[in-house]
Amino acid sequence: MFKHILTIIKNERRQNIGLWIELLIVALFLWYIVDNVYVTLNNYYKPLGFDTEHTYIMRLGLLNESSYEYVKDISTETAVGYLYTALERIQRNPMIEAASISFHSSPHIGSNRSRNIHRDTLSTKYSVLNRTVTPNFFRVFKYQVENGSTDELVQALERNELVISPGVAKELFPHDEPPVGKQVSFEKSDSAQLYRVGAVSRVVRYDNFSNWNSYFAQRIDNDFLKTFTGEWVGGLEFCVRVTPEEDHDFIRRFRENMTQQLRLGNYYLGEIQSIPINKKAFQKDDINDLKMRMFIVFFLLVNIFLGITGIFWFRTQHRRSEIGLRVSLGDTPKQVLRKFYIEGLLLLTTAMVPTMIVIYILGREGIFATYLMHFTPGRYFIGFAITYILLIIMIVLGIRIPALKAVKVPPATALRDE
Amino acid sequence: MIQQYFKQAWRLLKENPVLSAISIIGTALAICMIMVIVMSHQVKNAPYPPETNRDRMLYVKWMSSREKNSTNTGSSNGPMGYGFAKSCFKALETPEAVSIVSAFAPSAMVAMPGQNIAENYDKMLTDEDFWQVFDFIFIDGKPYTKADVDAGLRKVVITEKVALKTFGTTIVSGQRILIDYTEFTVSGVVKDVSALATAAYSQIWMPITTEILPEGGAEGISGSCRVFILAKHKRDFPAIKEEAEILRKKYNDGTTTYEAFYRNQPDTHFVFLHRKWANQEPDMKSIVRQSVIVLVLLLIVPAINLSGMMNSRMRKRLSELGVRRAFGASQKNLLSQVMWESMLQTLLGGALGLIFSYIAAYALKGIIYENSDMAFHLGEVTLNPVSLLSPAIFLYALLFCLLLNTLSAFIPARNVSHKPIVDSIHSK
Repeated sequence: MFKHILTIIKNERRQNIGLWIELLIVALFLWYIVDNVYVTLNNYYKPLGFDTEHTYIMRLGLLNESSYEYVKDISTETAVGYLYTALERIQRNPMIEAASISFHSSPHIGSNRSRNIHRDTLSTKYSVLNRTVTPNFFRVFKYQVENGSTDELVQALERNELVISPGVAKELFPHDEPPVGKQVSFEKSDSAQLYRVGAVSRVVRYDNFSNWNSYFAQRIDNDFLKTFTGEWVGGLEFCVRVTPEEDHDFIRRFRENMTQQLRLGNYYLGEIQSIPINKKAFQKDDINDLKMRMFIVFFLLVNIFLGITGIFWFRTQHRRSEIGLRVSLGDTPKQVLRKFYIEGLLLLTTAMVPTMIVIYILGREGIFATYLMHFTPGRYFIGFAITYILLIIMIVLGIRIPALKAVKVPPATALRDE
Repeated sequence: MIQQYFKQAWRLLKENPVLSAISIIGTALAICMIMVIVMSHQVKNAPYPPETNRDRMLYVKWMSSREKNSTNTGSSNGPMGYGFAKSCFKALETPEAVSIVSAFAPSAMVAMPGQNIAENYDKMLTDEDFWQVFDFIFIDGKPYTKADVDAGLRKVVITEKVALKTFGTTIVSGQRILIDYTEFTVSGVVKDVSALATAAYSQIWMPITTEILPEGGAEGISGSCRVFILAKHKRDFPAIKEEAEILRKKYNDGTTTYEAFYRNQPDTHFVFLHRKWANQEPDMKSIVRQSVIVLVLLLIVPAINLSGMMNSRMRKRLSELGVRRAFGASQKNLLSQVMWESMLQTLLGGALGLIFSYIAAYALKGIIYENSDMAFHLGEVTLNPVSLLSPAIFLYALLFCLLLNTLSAFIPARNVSHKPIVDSIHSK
């Protein structure tokens, strides 16, 4: 039967060649886009290592000197005291589960600080995200150590020790050496200040679209806060986790409740933002990219469907007499239909072979991004499996409609045409 | 004659409705895709108020500094200092105007004096030239002037929405308003700005000298400002870049440890849109290449589709054309009939494509018009997407499809007219 179908394909070669080229081009691009979407989504759904649900970020504002409420000559020490008072008052609000102060550490704001960490002769290859936070930061975003405990992380910071990520631990402590209790430094010199590693957290990723996950956390101290008592105060992030029951219309209710309490010295409660909403804004470009790619996949598939239907429409009409003959000679309509399917699928399969070779060569040449995933056989074949299945569905759908119509013609009518 | 061709063509389309529908939908989809892609480009690059001068603007979004003559390859990246912006950009003589603005001032709490409840709005600090670089529509009052900015007068320009929410009316110039617990005078009221105007967008604008800006990193190079340059003409861009380079060197001569470098800025509007991160240049070559590949792909696939279908359709009609020739139709006659047929089909496809484009303009609003920068704003994307459906672009898309359809019908038709009549009649 195969040989027979191949002969048919050969006889219709003038039409088939166009279809074949189209399938080849589409398969090529479809693999590229499907692969892209697959790699992105695969990365997207890996655990983030932190939880932003029911969290908010707020900032303090500094009164303008010309404001009627401005208080002159507040010492830096007093101002730092106000910052701690603000944190304490926020924490005491019954709606709040946990609150922290941090700098360039809250997720999904796009501002980062990073630096290299050293240990004896070992250094991190790239600079590592620097999370400068108060201990409760881990409770706000639910960072965890391997056994699921958050308290260990909080306690480590309370002891003024560092928390590092598994990636950093692996780089600085090879051969499964336990990092807790060991010393590291931020400068590569003998006189550099040493810090004790207090805990290693689980993997914490930067966001859904990146796999950047090397960080260390350090406790915010008074000296650090002193540099933020002036016009930079807006740079401090006051992040809170709200109890799930209270997380409705939170921004308005909290503002009503706390505006008075948070008027401390020259500080006032500035903007409050929901972190999940910030997350959406921050990842909007990537999400749009992803949607656009899916849209192109959809467009290509619709085109394949239209093309296949169009071509098989003519073909089945053209071969109505042949179909009639087959049916009258004892083929069931199902069998005839199957022949058409096999014809389409054979065409697709022969178009897939050169595509696979081209993609293999391009992959070997390093054309495809390997930032999120290496060009492994798994990635190569999963991409092809998805591409193949999508195209098969389109071909079967495209053939089904015209072929069914042709098969349904009574054999006598079809034969009479002859 | 033409009327008859149309009649014939119409009959032909009706004779095989499913098939005609397929080729018409194919044409429509191709047109719709082209329109969507062009629209998403238009919305970001075409000029409209207040960003009417996008084609002659240059932008300096981020600033970078590094240690002079040092082995340390690290750099510090972010907005620039106000003083730095003044000596390196404000001092430029070639451009028409240079405006220094705050990069991301936190949103402000706004209220009427004596009112307890404050509303949150986006705030931007600018100098007086901002009102010259951008083309705002003032409903009431006027912008603050150079004298106001130099003196640090607490004047403010607000949008219609802020005025309505705070005062209940838009004629409020001269009124007092509380912004972050400080009293300001409303200088003017402007029409709301769509968050699509990435550079000019805000809800409140006030003189950059009314607040102490977070400043001072890397000997004044880093701070919290951005610069917008309006050139007199597009062709002045190289001259402005050259002049900026001279000013940069002059500034760097005066510093001890740090030097500023621009990572190829000032940017044109197109590059500015793609400059996302402060510490790396956008790879414009690969961005353009990718867009071209996508565009070509979206054109080629429907093209193969349509021509394949047209081609087999013509083959099926070989005998018909043969008969017509046998009865004396000239080659010219046959070809012009085929032309009219594909014209009708393309026109139908075009009309449908236009409807598809309208639907897509609304359905894909989020993808086409929004990006991360805008999503962080409190304001809305207030632009009628349909206003972007440019007739010229539609015409081009239609012409392209017409060419495609005609070519794929024309070639087989011409072949037929060259074949011996007997062969044509005989074919099935």
